Amino acid sequence: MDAAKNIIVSLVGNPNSGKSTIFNALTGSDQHVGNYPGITVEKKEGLRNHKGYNINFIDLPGIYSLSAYSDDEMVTRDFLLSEKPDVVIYVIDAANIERNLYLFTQIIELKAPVIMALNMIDILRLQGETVNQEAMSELLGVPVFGTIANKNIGIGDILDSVLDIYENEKFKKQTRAKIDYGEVIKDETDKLENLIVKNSELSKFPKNWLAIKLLEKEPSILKLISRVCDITEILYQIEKSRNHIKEHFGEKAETAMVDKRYDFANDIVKTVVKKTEQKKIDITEIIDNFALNRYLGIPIFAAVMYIIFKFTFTFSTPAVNLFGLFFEWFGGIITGIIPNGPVQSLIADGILGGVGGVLGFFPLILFMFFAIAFFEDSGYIARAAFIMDKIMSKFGLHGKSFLPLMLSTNGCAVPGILATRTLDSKQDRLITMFIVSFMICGAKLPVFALVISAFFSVKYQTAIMFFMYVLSIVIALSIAKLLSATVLKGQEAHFVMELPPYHIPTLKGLLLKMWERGWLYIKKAGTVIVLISILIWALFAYPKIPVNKNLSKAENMSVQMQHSAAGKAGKILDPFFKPIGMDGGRAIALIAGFAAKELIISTLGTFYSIEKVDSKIPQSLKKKISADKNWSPLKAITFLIFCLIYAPCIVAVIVFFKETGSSYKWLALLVLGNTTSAWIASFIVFQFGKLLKIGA
Amino acid sequence: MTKKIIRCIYERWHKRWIKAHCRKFKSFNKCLEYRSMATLSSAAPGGYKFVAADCDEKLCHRLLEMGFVPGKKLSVISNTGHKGSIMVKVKGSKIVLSNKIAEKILLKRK
Repeated sequence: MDAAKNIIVSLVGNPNSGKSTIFNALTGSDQHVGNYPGITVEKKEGLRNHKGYNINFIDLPGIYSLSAYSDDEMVTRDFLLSEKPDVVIYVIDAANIERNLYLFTQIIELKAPVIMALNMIDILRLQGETVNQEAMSELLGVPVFGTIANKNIGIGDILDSVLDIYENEKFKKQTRAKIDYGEVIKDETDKLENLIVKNSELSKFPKNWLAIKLLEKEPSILKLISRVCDITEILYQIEKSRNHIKEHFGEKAETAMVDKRYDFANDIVKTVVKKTEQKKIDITEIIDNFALNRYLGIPIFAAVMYIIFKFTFTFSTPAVNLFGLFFEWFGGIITGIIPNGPVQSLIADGILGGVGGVLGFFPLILFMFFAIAFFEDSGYIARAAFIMDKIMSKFGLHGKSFLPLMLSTNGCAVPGILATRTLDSKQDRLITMFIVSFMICGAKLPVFALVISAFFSVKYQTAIMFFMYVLSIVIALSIAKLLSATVLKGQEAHFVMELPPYHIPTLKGLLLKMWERGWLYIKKAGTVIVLISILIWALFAYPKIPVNKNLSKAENMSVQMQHSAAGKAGKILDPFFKPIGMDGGRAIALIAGFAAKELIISTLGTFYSIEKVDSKIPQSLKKKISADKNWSPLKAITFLIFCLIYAPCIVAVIVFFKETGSSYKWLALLVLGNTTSAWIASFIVFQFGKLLKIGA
Repeated sequence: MTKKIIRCIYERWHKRWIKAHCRKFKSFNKCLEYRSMATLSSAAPGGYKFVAADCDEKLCHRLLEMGFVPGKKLSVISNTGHKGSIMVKVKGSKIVLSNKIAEKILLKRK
């Protein structure tokens, strides 16, 4: 392939403008997701071959402006400035042209070749309005195409236009729209431009754009230029200009300029958008009347959550069972192929046991992501955040924090921690990431189910399970309150959020989103789980002692257990666990649980010398535990409380560590702090229970 | 003598007037109301003009770019009282704000 035939195209637009739908329509499934180095902004790329050209599409994050006050904006601006894409596709939500044009006024100042995609033009028609695309194209000086991305309408025109612009360098001849900032501002930007031109380092930026940004006195730009040259003269001129503008308009320069940009957008809308008929019914309004109702809002929210859980669990159960069967079958084959010995034990017990436990949940996670993607793409998630904000803000949390918490309840803390990326403020993110680990995740659930079913009569089991859920939420919220009142005090949560109109999501978009996040789960969890499973297996299997022929296989295993490194560690830790009513076996199980909470059950199973432990709750293990004299209902409850509070699994800890920006302080608080408080809580419960002789 | 009496009466009434006036301005919100202004947090649903926001630079800029431009129209759709959030329509899109931010936003009645 000819090297010159590679075209780089980037997509820019406001959040909720349907940018991702256009991106999916343009690229198909050939996409990769990565991160921009150093920050947690997703970078999506996709390839498309069109008429012999390799077009590389890059989906930039959805932003409202290029002012670089957030990571998303910074990424977009730096990309447009330094990578200089061949073509920029600017995606506009046709139903809301005025707001969407605001960012456009900043994009055209960057002197990049632009194509405008007027997305969701069918919704505009539903509202009884039409856009004169020719007039718009004429006024803005860029090609404008109406698209309906979820029906693939207008996508071909955009591709052709991309080639057209690339081939003919047509945009250079375009007379592009210029925002009329008025004479006063224009004079001042001209003065700054003259200073910029004098400096050779600065003239590589679009000079008009730089002058405007300097006049706005944007901190990131000032920092940028102070690195390349001496700016005393420019700073002096900026202050002089800003004072002049303030005198003239009676407001700050940036306010005056934003005002002018909106005036420009408003003028465009007035000329190109025509009302053809009376406004038809607005579906968004109707749904919002119910979904955001003061009384109905929370019941509807609860119903939606219930649907998500119901959907996830009903549809994933067969798949989870199938995965379980597959691993069992695979394990059987392995034991058949590889001769009895340490290698077989390593692969069958160590790797398959550990990885199988985690991958067994993979279908469940996929279904959960699918359901969540549906509510995200349809626009309900913003409403849910709005409804939850009233409750969450009482605990020093942000409305958006509910999503990570929901993801980790019965799901997994890892996607929960990743989902905190949607939170803007660092404080909210830290608190949310921290409390995500207290939720009863999909791996803790079987532990709770096993222990509760072993020690309590059927009548109380549901109540106790429910109590555990309530307890987890109470603990999480009070920790959040505590953190926001002490360590992370002072910064108040900003809750400013746009409520996008409702859309019907496309299946393709949902599947792509689901797979993207699911793959992240496999990648992040899989690698660590393999290593830790091997380690745990080794701790239990070594040092080996010779098999005593007089004992049964189960008894031999039990003897081996006590002599293994893990068994010895359990004995050493005995005095530490005694005050909270636990013996060596449970101590080891809890330590193994630090690697992955699934391992609590399998370790208990190994400890109680059960020959076969599968991922479902083993009936025999339940009986063994309930028959053991070392257990009691009180000890069971203490065990569960310890389980609930102590350090999350190693994968969650690693992801937490990465997402906090490698902060050792938070890492220590999460691991040591949680374990210590778990011990204290269990100690109190156990000792009080013993004193009062409850369930002892 | 008469002058003194008149002065005495005047002072008495003057004091009463000040007292009454002070009551009117007893709270910040009452003062705003008097000037047909309101903070967003205490604004009833209806049409307003944005006046100013008193917050840190970052948030101010964000609000500005979301369409909160001084002198421009915005309409309050719902206001769920003291601890809730406020929904407004600016430039054709719905935006929700928490009460904490809304307290710092000043509006003028149309």
